[in-house]
Amino acid sequence: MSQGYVCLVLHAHMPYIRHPEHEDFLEEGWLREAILETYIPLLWLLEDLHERGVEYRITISLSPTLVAMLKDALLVSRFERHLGYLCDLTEREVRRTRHQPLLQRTANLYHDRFARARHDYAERWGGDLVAAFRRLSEAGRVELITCSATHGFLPLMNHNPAAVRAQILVGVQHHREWFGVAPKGLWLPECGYFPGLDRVLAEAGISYTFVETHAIDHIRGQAQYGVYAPLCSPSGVAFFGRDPESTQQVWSSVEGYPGDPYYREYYRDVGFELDAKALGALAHPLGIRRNVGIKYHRVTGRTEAKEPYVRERALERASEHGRNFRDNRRAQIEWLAERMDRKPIVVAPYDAELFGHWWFEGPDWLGHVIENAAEAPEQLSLCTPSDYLTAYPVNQLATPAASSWGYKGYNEMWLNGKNDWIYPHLHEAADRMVELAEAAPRASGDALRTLNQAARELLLAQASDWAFIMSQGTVVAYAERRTKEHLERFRELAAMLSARSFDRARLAELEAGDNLFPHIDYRVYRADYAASPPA
Amino acid sequence: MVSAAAAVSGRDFAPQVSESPAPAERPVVAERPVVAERPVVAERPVVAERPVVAERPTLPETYGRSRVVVLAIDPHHVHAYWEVTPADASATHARLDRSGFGEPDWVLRFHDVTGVAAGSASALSRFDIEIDPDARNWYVELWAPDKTYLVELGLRLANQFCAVCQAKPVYVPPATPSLVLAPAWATADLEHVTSHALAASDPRVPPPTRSQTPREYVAGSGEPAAFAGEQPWIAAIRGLSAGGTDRASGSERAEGAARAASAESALAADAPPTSKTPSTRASTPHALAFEARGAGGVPEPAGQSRSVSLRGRGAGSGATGKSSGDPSE
Repeated sequence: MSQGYVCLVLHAHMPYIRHPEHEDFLEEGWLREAILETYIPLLWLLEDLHERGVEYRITISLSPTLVAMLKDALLVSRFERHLGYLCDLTEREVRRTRHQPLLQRTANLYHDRFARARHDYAERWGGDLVAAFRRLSEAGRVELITCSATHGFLPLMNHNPAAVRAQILVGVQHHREWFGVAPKGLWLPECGYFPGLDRVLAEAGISYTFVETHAIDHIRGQAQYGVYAPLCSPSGVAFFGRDPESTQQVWSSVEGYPGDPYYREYYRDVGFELDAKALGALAHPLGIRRNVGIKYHRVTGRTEAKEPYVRERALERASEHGRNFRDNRRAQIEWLAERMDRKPIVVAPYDAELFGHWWFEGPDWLGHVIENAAEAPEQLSLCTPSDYLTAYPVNQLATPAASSWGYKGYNEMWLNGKNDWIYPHLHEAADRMVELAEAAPRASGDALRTLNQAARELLLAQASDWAFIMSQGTVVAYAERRTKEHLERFRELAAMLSARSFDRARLAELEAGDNLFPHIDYRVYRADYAASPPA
Repeated sequence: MVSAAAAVSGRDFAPQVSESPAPAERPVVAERPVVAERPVVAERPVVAERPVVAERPTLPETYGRSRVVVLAIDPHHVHAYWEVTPADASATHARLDRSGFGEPDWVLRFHDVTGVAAGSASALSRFDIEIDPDARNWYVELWAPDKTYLVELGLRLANQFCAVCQAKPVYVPPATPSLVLAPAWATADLEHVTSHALAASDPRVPPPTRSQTPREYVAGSGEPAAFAGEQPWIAAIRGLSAGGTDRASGSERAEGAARAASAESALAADAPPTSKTPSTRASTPHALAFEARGAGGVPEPAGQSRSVSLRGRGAGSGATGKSSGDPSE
């Protein structure tokens, strides 16, 4: 029997970005990058381990917006087209680098990798990665959990509790629709927690969630086991706190594994180096530079003179870092186990997109971590929160402290001088949505469609991604535009409802554009709405 | 509506003011596209920052009803935004007895209602923050975390106060581990497991285990110890500042630990707002742990300066242990 558990959690999320009105939309490429560089490599890894009989358990949250995009026919077809362009480019790159053997080896790596991705995406998964994750879940390897509907940052939404409740309930319903079962867990966007949120989670049938370390450390009283055992709120929701040590080893911008000099350098992409002719169909029509995912250099060091990437060397490092992680967790667990009257659980959550997209060798590292654990289960074993709660159903009674995993640990990333203007409008819209829903117990026909679309627009406006981007100063114009557009569309729909005059053409246009949550029920904003019965 | 939507600035839209068709394929040798051949576009600095061509209705400036909303940012800051309709503003002015008092001030009146039952008339204390009503929003620095405030927006003149509207209660979270130890926690247990190093308050005791950094690990195995260092994207995607300014200062952490050990210091937490600056407020405890150990003068083993040990020991106050009322096994 193992001395303790490691709980690996990958949170996969992308904001809903879908622009049928543009053939080549820059921000739509984020999803394509994440599919090709993260989700497909993760599936390769997890399926391969499963097929080889490696016994593992890992928790993956798939945000509802991500699931909706992975299932969207337009985005799927655009991804396939994009992958075709990439495969063409890699063939040209193999030829172009024929006099540079070191680079050509890497070019061949991309060539083979993209070709395999193209084949597997079409043939193995039928263009449906959601189903592939579902099969891993049904095989008992992956525990799939959900997230709030559009990744809304809940602590700043709580001005109107009905808005928070709708985010949670819609997320849970969406998961049930796609995966056939109710999710046991829910990833709180940005680990944003505020006191009282536990009751909403309980109402939605959620058994557990995750919080930042100080959510546990700052509880009233003291957490008996720190973050190495969950707390249980009076409403019956378990809270697993993030282990700072395993976080630091992977996430730290200074000393984390991904900064190793032999790992691939993210910022040297041929999308910024080749001319338009060489990029071919991947060149942006307006000439805007962007990553295409082909990078020939390694991190090297604090220098602009980057050296060529050597795959074998990088994989050795991934293996070493996998052992390092295992050894550190083992030491940690040994120390904890001596001091606890139960087995400790070390909770290590990461953004899924870290693996493969940012940290190219991340999936390889993850594979080593999983295999190392499987080889010596007497030292530590991988588990999911459900496994742990099955083993230890009784936990310390307490509620976490308000917190997030963002900058400074609270709400500042999503509320500061760069994005504070959004909240009067978001709160007003949420209040209005609740009023409209309360005024219409049984809407039908145009009013029903309008109310449902208004709910979609509000949810989309609430995505935490927009406020985050405004803070980060990256594609601010786009984030502002999305916030304003959804709020304006919401107001347009609310005006139709007030006037009892429906512009069907416009309604159809909005339904076709912002088309996620096809089965949403606006009554989720009503106080008398009952959360769906257990599946 | 689609074309109107496209007029709102985004990086990816066809220029709205240009009549000339885009060339089928344009040379892309520079990072920015060559725009000289298109004079209409050329006056704009970069394609990615095209100005917004406002055509579709924008969000309203006001919503026509008076309200004030207060949102917690962190344990020491809240953000308030408000709207006061002209009618409510004049009505409030009219309610004041202005004889001989001069001009009234607009203030946010904070009532500390921590632990006070809802509906109860008595707050523990109150203070006013003078504001410019036209600013429409304000950032307020506070000095005592773990409090609940009821905030009113109104006019103050001498000892008169006329509220226009009241916000929902706002709760500012704790910044440090709780000073409140439940009475049931009776048995002292210095080996109590916490995830952050309260060991800062007891520098004599080194933490029992620690993670090796990749650098050490590699060094230990005889590999080259080169380490590339910071990857800016890691900071970027987490929203952490690359320079490490997200880390709370060690002095703040040490201060917090000292406070936890001293009831007198706890009282000092209610000092006036001048006693705190935003740059020194608490942050995530694992960051604090690292900084506190460094700042506290705990000797770091040679060659291990980067490591962070995050496991600590019992609180310096020592009054930790297992609750008799604890439902755990």
